[in-house]
Amino acid sequence: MENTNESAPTHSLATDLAEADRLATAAWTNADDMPPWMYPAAGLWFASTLVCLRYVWQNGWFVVPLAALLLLEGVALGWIMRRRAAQPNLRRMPPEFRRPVFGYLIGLSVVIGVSFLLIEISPIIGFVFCAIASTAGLLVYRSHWYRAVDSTRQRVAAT
Amino acid sequence: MSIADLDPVIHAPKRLGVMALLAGADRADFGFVKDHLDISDSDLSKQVKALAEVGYVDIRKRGHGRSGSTTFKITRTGQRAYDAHVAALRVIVETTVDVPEPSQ
Repeated sequence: MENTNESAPTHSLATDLAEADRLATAAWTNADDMPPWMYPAAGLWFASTLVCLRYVWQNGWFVVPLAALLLLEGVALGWIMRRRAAQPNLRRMPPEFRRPVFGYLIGLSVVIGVSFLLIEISPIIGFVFCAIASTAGLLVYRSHWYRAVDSTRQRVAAT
Repeated sequence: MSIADLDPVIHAPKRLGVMALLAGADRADFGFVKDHLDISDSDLSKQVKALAEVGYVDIRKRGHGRSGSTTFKITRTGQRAYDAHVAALRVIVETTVDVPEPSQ
């Protein structure tokens, strides 16, 4: 017998605790790279696109690709929301996720702010900037998010 | 803290697993919880029902048949009970001194 009567229940409790710690992060480590509280942020993103749409309305042909882009974004968001199996709890955010989440919000604010400024100068430049910067920002955010997923899984596995 | 401080409703491993999953989520659907605990539909229903009866979990059902969905959300009472249970577990595990094996 390797375990004494005293240590056996303790081992069981330790196993229960480790399993609880692992499962408590499951909603985060299995979530898509855009949690639900970021949808309002995505809405702001749409708003900046809409402003572009408003400014280029007079240019006729520009409306069609922009409308198609908005529709595509809406369909993509709907698809992400539908396949979400668990919504991560923001109040229980693992420390590894703080950087990507807050970085995303800061980056989004900068992109929207600069886009609005550029739209005042030239709607086309503003729109192009918004499209390129938002795509690049999302790609950076996505890589940070998955890095946070990996490090959270490693931390929990190590306990 | 002692074993007596552990919540008897949450202490069962499957129910502790359900509570841990829901503690990290705003709301989780049936399939998500089932997949992570690797238990049958009927077993999960039974465990969640026991947690709902004491007010730890809120069950929401939408639609019927294949298009319907069942989601779970931990309540404030459940969150407090889970936090207290895990804190008690942690103290017990960290303060218990392993008994060394006798040398041969």
